[in-house]
Amino acid sequence: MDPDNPGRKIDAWLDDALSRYSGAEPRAGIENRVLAALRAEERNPRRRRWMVWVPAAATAAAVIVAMVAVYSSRKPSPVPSPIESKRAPAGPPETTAAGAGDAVADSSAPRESRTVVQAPGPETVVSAATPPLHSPSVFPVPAPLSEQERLAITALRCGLLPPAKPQIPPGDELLPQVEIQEIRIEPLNDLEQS
Amino acid sequence: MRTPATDVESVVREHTRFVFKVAYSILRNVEDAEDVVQETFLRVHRSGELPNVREVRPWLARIAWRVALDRVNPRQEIALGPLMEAGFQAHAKETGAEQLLVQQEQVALLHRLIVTLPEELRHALVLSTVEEMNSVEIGKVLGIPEASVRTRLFRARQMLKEKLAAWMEGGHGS
Repeated sequence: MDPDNPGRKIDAWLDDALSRYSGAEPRAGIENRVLAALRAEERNPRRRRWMVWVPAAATAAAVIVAMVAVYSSRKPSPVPSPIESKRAPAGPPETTAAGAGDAVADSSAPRESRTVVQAPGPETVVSAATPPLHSPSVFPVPAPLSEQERLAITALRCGLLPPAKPQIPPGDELLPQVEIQEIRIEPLNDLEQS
Repeated sequence: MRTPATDVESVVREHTRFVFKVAYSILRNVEDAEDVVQETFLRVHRSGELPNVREVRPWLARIAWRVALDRVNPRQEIALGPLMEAGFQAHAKETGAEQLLVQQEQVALLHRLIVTLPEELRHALVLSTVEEMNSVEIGKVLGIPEASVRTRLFRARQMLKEKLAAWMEGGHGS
């Protein structure tokens, strides 16, 4: 290399280095490995590989459906009034009079919280435990719309029904407009004069 | 008439080394380049477009180039502190293992310089180092005209020379 000519030195160095830059060779037998991979691909195409995931996806979908079903079944259903839903305790009812043991009501039959059992003796009152008023079950949940109500809403949305006008109960009609005259306050001259 | 499978096989046997060179020029790693070769021919096989391809070499090079670029590790660096000085003295008349070592260091130094080039220049220059790849084929791989390839190669070479000259003026390579 000519030390007096750095340009040529650099050119020569670059040519030499660039000629070797991609000089690596693959390991022996790479063609056979590639062909083996291709044959394996033909035997087990890629489109079949993802089919392995089909059962897993179906299982996952079933689990999701089951979870949704369980979740929806846990949703609070419309709670009937506590009087209808509450039943008397299974134990013997309290009686207000002795000798009324034959008046024990059938515990399997629904009864109100306060049931009057017809008995030959004095009136027997079966008192059931009334839930506290702050219990959530005391407050009923709005009942779902009936079929007719849903049809009416659908018809209203589709324009099949005219929009309902607000009904004004009798006696609440708008009063005729009343004119209020300007209030004038006259000076109290008469009083001063008197 | 040959079946498509036979076509793929003949293409593999004929162009594997070329595809490897393209991949290696980008990845600088034999194992990774071989993986790219395999992935390239698998894509060729899956596409089924081989019978319709007129120029197989640029087509293969383009596939391999894209596959290799997807595998480039941006954090991959080569420690070239002491290597740079040894690499630039590669023209001494070494022989045997010492010469081989110096050549490796020379290539490592060049790689360190190439990495600093702008991407458009770097891709053209790297592909030009693959043997038997001319400007036309490089242009087909990069999707640019041949004239642009020549311009980029010239600019890349100029930048490399400037970097080497600046490095030599800094007291290295003497």
